[in-house]
Amino acid sequence: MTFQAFSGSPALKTQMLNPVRELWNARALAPDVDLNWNSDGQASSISGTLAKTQDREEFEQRTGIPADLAALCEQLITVGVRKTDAQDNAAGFSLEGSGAVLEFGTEWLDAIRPGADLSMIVPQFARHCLDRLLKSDFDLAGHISPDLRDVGCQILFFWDRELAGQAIARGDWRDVQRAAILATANDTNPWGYGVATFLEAIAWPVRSVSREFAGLFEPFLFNWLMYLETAFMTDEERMDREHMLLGLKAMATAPRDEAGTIDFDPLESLPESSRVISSDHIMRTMDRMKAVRETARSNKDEVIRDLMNTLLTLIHGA
Amino acid sequence: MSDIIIAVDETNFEAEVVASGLPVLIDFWAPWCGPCRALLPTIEALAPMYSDSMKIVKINVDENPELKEKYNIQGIPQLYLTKAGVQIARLTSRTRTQLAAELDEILP
Repeated sequence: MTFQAFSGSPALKTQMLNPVRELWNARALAPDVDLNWNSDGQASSISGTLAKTQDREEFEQRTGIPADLAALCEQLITVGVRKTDAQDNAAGFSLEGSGAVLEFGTEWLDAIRPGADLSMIVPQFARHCLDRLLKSDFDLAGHISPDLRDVGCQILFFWDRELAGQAIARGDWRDVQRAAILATANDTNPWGYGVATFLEAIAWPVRSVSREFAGLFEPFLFNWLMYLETAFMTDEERMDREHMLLGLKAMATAPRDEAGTIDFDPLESLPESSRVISSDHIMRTMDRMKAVRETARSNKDEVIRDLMNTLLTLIHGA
Repeated sequence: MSDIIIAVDETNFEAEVVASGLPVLIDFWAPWCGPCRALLPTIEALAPMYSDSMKIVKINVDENPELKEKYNIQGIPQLYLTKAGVQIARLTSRTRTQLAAELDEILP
């Protein structure tokens, strides 16, 4: 499909965007990675309202914007805001977040030039994120094993060749995929699992990753933002967080039967993980962790806003 | 892209799954299921890679209770690889990389 934003018409852009802006400024829309529009019991999303549809193809036909890009933009907002039920509010919910994060709701749409082809924005953004992950000053750099780093560098090398118009043989990708699976399986760092699963999942041609990217990036970003909280924790709290991550990994990777049930206790051999995942521990530390999250909020917003700015730069350049 | 994944129901099951000359990967799903929606792009990305060796279909379990019962589906998403309608494997991976590795081991 060829993309031409707003069919090249500034008037169409204004016509489509103005009602969205009005609703967004009234905080009557709820950002969502899925297109939501006029759905029973569910608030409409920004993109769903823009095209008045829940259907990806209709969205792309009406707006000329890739649905993958819309999903990514909404996802960046969702990770930076907190949505809570508010019955006294006409929308039935309220959104809380920093102005810098909230303004992105329509900022990315304002940045789109009518007629622009935005089909390469998500692949370019994916490339930016991988490059950042591999930088020595990346927040989680100390938790990325040499094997995982090698896999990341190989993916980035192939992506750059692909973006330069060169073809990569399927066999070459298979080698990287096998290395990614192995590096993930061998990784034992509590913070490394989120990075490993992300790298393993994106070990494909970057254009083909575009459709999946928002869904793959979300847990990676969540892990990254959660790590930023550790700067405001005591040593004991940091250890507990690592035990929690190891426990969650054990549960995520435990074999399940056809009903999705695990027929053994994956935490049996991880008593410390079992302790910190217990409801008793969670309840006892809830207020303290909430305070940590609030203290870390500006650092997390900075990361989110930086990612938003990258998207804006790419959109402006299209 | 979504055209690659054929929606199968009780009316076209025989033709699309049982009579298929290729193995058929069935994605059991439902519209309300978040993990099912998250898995769909992964399945769609796999489809063109295996178009010579496998067909991919999806079955909405809410709309097709007989097929849900036939395969004893107890949880979704569920991925079954079938031959002539008979289950030959249950795929448990959820990333494209791991699913491709699983399929490469099973498919000829």
